Amino acid sequence: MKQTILFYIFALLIIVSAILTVRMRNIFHAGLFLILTFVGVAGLYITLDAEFIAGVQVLIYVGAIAILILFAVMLTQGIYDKTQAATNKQQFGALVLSVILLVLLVLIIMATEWITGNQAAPSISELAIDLMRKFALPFEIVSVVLLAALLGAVVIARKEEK
Amino acid sequence: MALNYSWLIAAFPAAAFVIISILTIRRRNISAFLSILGIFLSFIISLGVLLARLSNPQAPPFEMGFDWIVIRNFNIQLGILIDNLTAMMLIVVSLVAFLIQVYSAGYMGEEKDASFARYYAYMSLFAASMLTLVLCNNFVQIYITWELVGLCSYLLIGFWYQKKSAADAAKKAFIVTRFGDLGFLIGIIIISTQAGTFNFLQIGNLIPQWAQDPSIGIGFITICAILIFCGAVGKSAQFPLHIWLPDAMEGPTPVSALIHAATMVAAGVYLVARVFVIFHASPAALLVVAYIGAITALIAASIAIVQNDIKRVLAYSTISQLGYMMLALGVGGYTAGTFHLMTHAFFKALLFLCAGSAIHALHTNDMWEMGGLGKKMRITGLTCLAGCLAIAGIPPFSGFWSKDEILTVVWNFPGHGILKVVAFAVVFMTAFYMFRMYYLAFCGEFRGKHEPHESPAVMTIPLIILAFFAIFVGFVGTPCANYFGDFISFAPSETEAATAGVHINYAAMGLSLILAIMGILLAYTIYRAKAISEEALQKRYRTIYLILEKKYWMDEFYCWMVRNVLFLMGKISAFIDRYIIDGIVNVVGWATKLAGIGLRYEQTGLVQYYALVIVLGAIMLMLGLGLLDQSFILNIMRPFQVFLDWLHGGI
Amino acid sequence: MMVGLIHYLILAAILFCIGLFGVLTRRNAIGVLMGLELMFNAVNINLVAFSRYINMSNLPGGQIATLGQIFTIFIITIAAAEAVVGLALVICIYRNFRGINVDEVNLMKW
Repeated sequence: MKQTILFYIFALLIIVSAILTVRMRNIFHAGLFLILTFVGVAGLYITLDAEFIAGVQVLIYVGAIAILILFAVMLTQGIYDKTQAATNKQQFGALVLSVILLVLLVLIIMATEWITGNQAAPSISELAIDLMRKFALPFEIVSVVLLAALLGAVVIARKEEK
Repeated sequence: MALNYSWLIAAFPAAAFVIISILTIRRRNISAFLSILGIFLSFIISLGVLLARLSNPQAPPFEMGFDWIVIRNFNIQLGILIDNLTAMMLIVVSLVAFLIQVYSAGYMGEEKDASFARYYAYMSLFAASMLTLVLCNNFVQIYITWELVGLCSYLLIGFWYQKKSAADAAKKAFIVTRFGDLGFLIGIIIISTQAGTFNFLQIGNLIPQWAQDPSIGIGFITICAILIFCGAVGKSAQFPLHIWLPDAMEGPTPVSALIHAATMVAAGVYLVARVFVIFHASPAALLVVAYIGAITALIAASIAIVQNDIKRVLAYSTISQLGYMMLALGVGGYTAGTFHLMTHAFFKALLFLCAGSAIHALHTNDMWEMGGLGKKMRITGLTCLAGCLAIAGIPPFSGFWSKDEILTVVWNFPGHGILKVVAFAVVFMTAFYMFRMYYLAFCGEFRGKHEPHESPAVMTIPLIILAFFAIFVGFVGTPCANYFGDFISFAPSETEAATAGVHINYAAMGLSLILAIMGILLAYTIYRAKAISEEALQKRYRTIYLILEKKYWMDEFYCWMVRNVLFLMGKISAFIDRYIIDGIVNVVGWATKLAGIGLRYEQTGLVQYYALVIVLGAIMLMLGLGLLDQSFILNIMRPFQVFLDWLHGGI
Repeated sequence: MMVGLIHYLILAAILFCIGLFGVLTRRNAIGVLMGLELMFNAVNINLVAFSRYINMSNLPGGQIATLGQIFTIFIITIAAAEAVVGLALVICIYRNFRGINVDEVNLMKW
């Protein structure tokens, strides 16, 4: 019961924030609504008994990525320019395609026979053990990816030396 | 035995041509010697061939050859076919060519060294081609040699190519005969495709079967025959392709004698005789041949009456006599036509060489500037008289016997009275214009500038030899003892049986003699006795004179045709080629370019557009794969079911 | 009604499509990146919902109960790396073009 109500609250929050994110003219405000969306998603994770993921979501997405986006917005001006359009010329086409895709996905979701079972959600210790044992290799690789991304970003974004 | 070496007949002149062209082109005496030697050797071997055939006239034709091009079951041979007709033609061609080449040594003596040698090279090439033509045993070979003699004709007519009229005449000759050759080639292709072979004898054997066969029938044979006849029309200057022969007189007179009187133009007649089997099976084709021959004879004779150039008279006379030969063949007179071919070769060559002698002495062709040459150039005058008597058909000269045989055959031919009228009318006209020429040139007072002198022996001796033949060769074919007819006849032939010496047609003989004498008398009256003057006649019969002088406006007609019809067709074809055919190709290129121009807008350079297309592609993929799977379609319906149940449940 | 797997999945689909719409229509490059993050989040919701609801015991390939959440962690990490690189590129473009409107960056145009 509680889950149901919470689900619908968070769902509403997510959807409204998402729509506002993509439609806001002011990029900074759009970024803020993005943060709200992330928070909603974190709440959704809680309803799914995935507390760790919820924490990770807030820490990484809200705390790092969204802040990074806001910094980028501030570094590249043109935050708010009334004369320019916020969306490009393929609005209609994108809308149509998104709707079609949505309909298709919903149909597919509802048509599939999901093998559901009511099991206990994994605990954090189980997560940790699996991460370090079974998924040790992907773990290391992801670390390397992060390193590469870091270095790459530095190289791309630095000013050219004269 | 000589027959096995018969290929040498053509090989000697060919070798002479090659040697002269490559080695001795600057040395006049050696070139002339080689050429004359070559043709003389050909003559010797031809004699051997004739003797071989004479010893056994009824023997089957001698054939030898080898396969040249073999493509699966399609076989082109190069070969030799010798029957009695061939033997006769070989003698005629090689003897006349030999005599004319000797004569040329005198006539062409004023030419420069290289030019002189070039003349003999062409003469040898012509001799080789003509002899090969006579020896051929299949259609492909005869077509090849046909074109070769046409080429030699071109080269020799345009021998003095610096002169524009000569070059034009050479072109005209080649192009006009090409028209005939087109029909000839189509005929060859049709008949050989049907027969599966090119060989004359094999096709001849197939003809009777074709006549019986309902799917082929006589209609097909007629078409083949008429197409092959087209080649003869071109080469033998029959109406309507006769216009090249008078212009061909631009060439040296010995050339006119050899090619355009005695041999090459006879090739058409020879062709019809060679494949007479095909014509004989189709009465319609024979009628075509006869009528064209008759028309030609009549038109040419009428034009000859008003010519002032001595060579033109002889040219039109040649056309007319060739028409005569075709007429003879057309009414079934195989023997008559070929006999006249032989006698005509001799006396026409003689007449041309006499004219050449006069021209060489006076440096003019115009008869009105001649006159009284009989006194100053005795041998030329006498031999010319012999030739004129022969061609007019006065006994016992050779022309009488051959003409009489033709007239008999025409007389006995059922129906078609107009052919007979024409044949006899032409006798009268021939006698008239030939003696007009004789009286104008050789009798009366000399009207020219400087005094003529007799030609050198190298020119007069051939004249004498030819005169000998012109007088006496007719005796092999008299109606009483027709050796020629026995030697050369077309069997089976019903028309032959009717004429071959069964009874002598005194009526035809008498009528032709009377007409010939009348013609000579009329010429005497006008031109010798000067009782009537030609100018008065011209004024009196102005219209007729105009038509004849303008040669029935045939050349103008052809010019008009070419300009308006041919060039128009050319323009249309050019238009179609440039705009429609090239247009199609261009449209393809243009469409490609347009597609490229259109499609490049795809490359907008905008990433979001590309992303849109990717999403579209993904959706289509999903739809496609999903629709392939039946359970998917069924499962798609389930949500709707659930929804409907929920609705019902709710209600 | 009890909230089941399907509700979460449908929610994720909606979020995904909204994110897709943002990616395809936003002129500002950072707006595009925002849409992209929304799409990532949709995927994460899917995975976590699967990990909660799908019965893994009969699935081939071994049964790993934590698979969904582990996958999610990795996705979040990679999303962070990608956002970093993306934003660095955006800043670089801004320096060269004095503006980050995506539809003005069309040097690959025909």
